[in-house]
Amino acid sequence: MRRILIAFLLIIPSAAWAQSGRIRVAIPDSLAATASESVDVTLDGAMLRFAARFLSDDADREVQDMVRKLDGIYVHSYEFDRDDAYDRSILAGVRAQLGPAWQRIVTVKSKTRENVEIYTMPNGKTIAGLVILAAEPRELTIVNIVGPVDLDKLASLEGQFGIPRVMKGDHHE
Amino acid sequence: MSRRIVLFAAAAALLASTAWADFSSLVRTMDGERGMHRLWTPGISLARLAVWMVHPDGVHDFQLVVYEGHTRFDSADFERFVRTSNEQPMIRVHSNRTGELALIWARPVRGGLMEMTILAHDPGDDTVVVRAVVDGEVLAREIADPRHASDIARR
Repeated sequence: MRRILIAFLLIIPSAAWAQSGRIRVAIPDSLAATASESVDVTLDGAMLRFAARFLSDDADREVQDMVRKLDGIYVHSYEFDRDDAYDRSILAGVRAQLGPAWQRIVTVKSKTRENVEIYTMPNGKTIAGLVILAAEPRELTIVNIVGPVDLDKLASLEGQFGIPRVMKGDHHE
Repeated sequence: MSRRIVLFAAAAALLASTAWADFSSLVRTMDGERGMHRLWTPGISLARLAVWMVHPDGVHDFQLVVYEGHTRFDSADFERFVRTSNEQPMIRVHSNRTGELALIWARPVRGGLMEMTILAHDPGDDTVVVRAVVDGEVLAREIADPRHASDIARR
């Protein structure tokens, strides 16, 4: 009984994590060491609510409201001086966490250029989380937005909080 | 009631000392870096006093240590700087190409103010460690483009 209880207690945090829209991005130290440029942004709910008040002028009030409701924005971006310098298993590790609750809504595939995948975690009529995987031969970006995301306003967040400009409507599948 | 006040005061003191410790820990680590020499900044205490009174550019308080030296930090150094605080940095920027490095820790404090601890290093320029209590607007301007995060320290 005690073992079952301990196992249950151990499962609770990981289950809660998985349902919150937050993913664990395990970036090995070696990746940052080999990257020519690396940018990591960690903005939790409190910081976002604070920062939302001061979004740039071109972000309208509705976008500010959306940011205020978010629980976190996490960005990991790496640039390399040579092609295929990073281990693709990092992306596989992220995808492995995206269980049946997640839906892939955008796929952009290219043999020589950018590969983009966008996943959302629907929660009723809203979205509880969003993951963007953008992989180029010399660049890797992983974005995780946690909280109720309005897809119509998501494009307005590009360029804010270190979120790269990856939404290219003409390439959508 | 008085016990609650004492507990509250103790908690506040603990939070304040944590922020202080982060800055001090970062400075101690930088002091130990080979090739980096701390620069004496004349009148820094007077400048701090003026900042307390005038709040120029939305800055309400600051501590500043400047280093000279053209040391180029590698990823191991970078991780050592990150570990000087128990808090995760809000922004981490590191360029192996240029050697530029910026770390920003931030947390909301009172009345719309943000406390930031920043390390900004450029091999071709001075290295700055600064702790500042700033208006949120100043912070938001910086995190809009984290690649330019070190600019705030230079200003």
